[in-house]
Amino acid sequence: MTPGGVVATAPTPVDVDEIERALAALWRDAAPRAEPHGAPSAEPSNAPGAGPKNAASAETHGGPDGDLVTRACMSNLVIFCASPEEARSLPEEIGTIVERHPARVLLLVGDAAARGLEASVTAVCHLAGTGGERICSEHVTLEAARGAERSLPATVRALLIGDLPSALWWASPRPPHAEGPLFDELASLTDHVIWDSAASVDPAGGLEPIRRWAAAGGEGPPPSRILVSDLAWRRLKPWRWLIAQTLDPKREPGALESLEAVELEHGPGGVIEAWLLLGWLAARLGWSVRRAGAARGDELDLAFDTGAGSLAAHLRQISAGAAGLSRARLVWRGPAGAGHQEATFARAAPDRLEARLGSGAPRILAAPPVSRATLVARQLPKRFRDPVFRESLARARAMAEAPAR
Amino acid sequence: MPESAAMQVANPLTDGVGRMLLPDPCTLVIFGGAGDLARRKLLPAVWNLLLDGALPSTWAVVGFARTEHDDASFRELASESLEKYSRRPAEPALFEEFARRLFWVRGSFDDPSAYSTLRERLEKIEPTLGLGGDRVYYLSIPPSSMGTCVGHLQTAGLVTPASARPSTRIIVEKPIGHDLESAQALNAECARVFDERQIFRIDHYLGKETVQNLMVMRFANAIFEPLWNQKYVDHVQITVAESEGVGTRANYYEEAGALRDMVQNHILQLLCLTAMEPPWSLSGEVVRDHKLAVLNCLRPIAPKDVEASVVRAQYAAGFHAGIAVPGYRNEDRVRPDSSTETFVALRCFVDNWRWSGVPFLLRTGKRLPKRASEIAVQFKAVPPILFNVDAEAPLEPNVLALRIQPDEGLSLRIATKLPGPKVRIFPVKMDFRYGATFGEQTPEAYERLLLDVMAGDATLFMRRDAVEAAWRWVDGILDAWEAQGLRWLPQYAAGSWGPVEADRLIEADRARWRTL
Repeated sequence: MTPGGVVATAPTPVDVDEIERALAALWRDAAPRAEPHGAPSAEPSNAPGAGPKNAASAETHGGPDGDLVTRACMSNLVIFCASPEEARSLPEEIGTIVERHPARVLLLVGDAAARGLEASVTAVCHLAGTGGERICSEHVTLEAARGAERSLPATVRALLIGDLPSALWWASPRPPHAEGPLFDELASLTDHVIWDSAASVDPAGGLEPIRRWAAAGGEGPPPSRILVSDLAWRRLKPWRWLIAQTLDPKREPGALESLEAVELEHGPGGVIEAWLLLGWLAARLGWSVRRAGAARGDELDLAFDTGAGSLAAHLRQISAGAAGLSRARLVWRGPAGAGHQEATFARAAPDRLEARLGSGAPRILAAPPVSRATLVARQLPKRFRDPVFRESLARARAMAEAPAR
Repeated sequence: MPESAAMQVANPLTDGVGRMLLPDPCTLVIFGGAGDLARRKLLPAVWNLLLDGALPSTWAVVGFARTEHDDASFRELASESLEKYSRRPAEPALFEEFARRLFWVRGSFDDPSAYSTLRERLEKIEPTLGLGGDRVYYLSIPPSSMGTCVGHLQTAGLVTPASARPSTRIIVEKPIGHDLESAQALNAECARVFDERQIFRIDHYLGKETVQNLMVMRFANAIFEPLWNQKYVDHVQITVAESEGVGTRANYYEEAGALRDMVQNHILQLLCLTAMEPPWSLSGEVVRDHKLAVLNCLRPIAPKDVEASVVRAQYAAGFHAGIAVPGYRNEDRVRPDSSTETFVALRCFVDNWRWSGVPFLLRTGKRLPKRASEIAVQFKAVPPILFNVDAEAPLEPNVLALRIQPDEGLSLRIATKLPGPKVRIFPVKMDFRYGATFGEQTPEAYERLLLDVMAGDATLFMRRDAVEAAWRWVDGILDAWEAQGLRWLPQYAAGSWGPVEADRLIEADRARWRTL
């Protein structure tokens, strides 16, 4: 078993028009136990090990070994990868996702070697509690040869379970519109798009697609509004929380109004997170960008009007360390006679962030690294629009478009 | 509005960060800091709040009791407690940050000088951690010491007025009194020192996710509320079953019994949430007003009716998990002629327009077959026509059951047709389970409740008037029992669902106790 205790049945190839029947058979047929993810099945199996106990239905069936299986489903999750290479880690990631958020998963993979549209079905299960009961989700893989992608939206539409929320996770680093109209067609079938702007093959342009969707989603009438989530924004949550708490007006009166400098350091590929954090501070504290300095290699300067004065921001990429944001330093004017004060926030260890303020002891926040699958799983039930994200994104984009000095 | 809400507005960076509460920096002083509750629940709760980044920007915990500890040994005790009882383990690197904020003050609850020592220690600790003097006093101590404790807190200058800063709040653990008179006396002692807004009477049941979900289920779904009344509901069953015996709590339990231990607080709180009218706001006072209204509508059980409306019993020897267990009177520190009830079942009514004539059937007991708590709403039977014409085999009525523990969730029993050419009806259960659906570990009730106190939100805590209203109702039963002077109670075998008398109690309602 994987660390999370996730097991999956061996994928069963099926004709596309037999998918629903094959899924039903997964729950109907008693069959040998599932094998761990990635491990060869001793005897190819197409059932999770017992009859069904649908989360929304009644019967409990005992499997051959006396255990129970519950089919659970909170959402439809459509995942797109542009190639088999991009999809390689997906089976394990899907296990992580459905363990936290049971869903019918439709994995769409662009595959030049496929013959038209090929399908397979799998049950992904994990043990619940100590009772030995297994909670299972359905996983359908659709591999589409070039040209066959056009049939994906119609196939997906037929496979979505009605009356459930549907999300599209664009798991490819290729910008969505590089795949032609496919993204728009898939997105129109769902009500939630998840994307990782930090993973884009074009980091500088990574913000643009999500900014456009977020803006469109925010402006459209409610039925057509698509909820947009960016995993890069989600990764910043512990940073935002720690900064908000450390500079809380009750604790540091006046600090937020008198900030004068912000320095952000990030690892390779972390520039989007740095932009988003700066965009967040600018949006929440009402700064407007005045100008951007010319980029010098891995460094960039920006100047802001804060209303109370000006603020200088400096972004720097460091080559060592993990990807993502690694350090933030905020400097403000203290009360009269107190000079300047500063707070630094840093990833002190892989599993925690640390805030230092003056000479006091650091404040620590447990922030272990979170895999993208876990981030997706956490994002799926969060079905509210995040105006703070939208504002921060708009500011980040405005910074990118600011006139150079 | 809680103070914390006002504070969030003042800090633009907290918008959208996703935390419901942003408590002020504060010191938590635990009276009885090395006791069972502190070790099993409170210290693990603080640890898990730290891991979730939910604690204030700075904080401290000070343990206070007569036990011979110092800061170092208290931190060691905390480490052991996390090891044994925390839902997430103590990681060495983070534990240092946790432990350096733990302190110990040794003293007796009835020694005034110990409180001066406590104050001096707090005044030293707090500035070094950037704490402004806001304090929460958790009274995890015997009820008999509470009055003394709050009095000494005041004398030592450890209490500030309700609206003043820094703030002081107290958390009072159950039992809050032994009867109405003692509850009133205890409340009066607290009220002499603290304003009602500063007093948080804790009932950990109210911090449980499923209990909180009860209001969401009722008022965030359109399909239940129209049916939630005497027109459609046949009866309501509330069960809080324990599989354990009296264990090490015999000294307390001998004086309390099941009615005081469970019904007066947990079960009546569940009844209030089930029966209350929709509140017009979710603010603490409004919700608590609506719960109080239910208690005020609870029909008093007249002394002459107690025998017909209430069954009490004691467990006899039997089996638990396949092992023979002794009867209550043979347990350690239980009197051989004890007449303390370990089981109670009640039939009561909420006399208002919504619930007129609907029996509320309550039961709780020790040494029942399993640990399980549930609220079950049984709807009225469909008319005896169409599919329900066979009086010998009536259709099973619909039941909406909310499981509070373990395996939190809800289920709805409905009738459906068995496949085949004949019309055969079979009851099936639509089942929603938190664990299966949401997967993630849910926070312990004490985590939520501690955070609420730090943030000044009293919604999930019991107000004085509600505690006294509950005692007033329970006292009627206790008085009648005392007048009866029974020396031998009905018995039920350990591992069974209670005495046959409990079944007879609800026969008139044509109801049967549910098998959980």
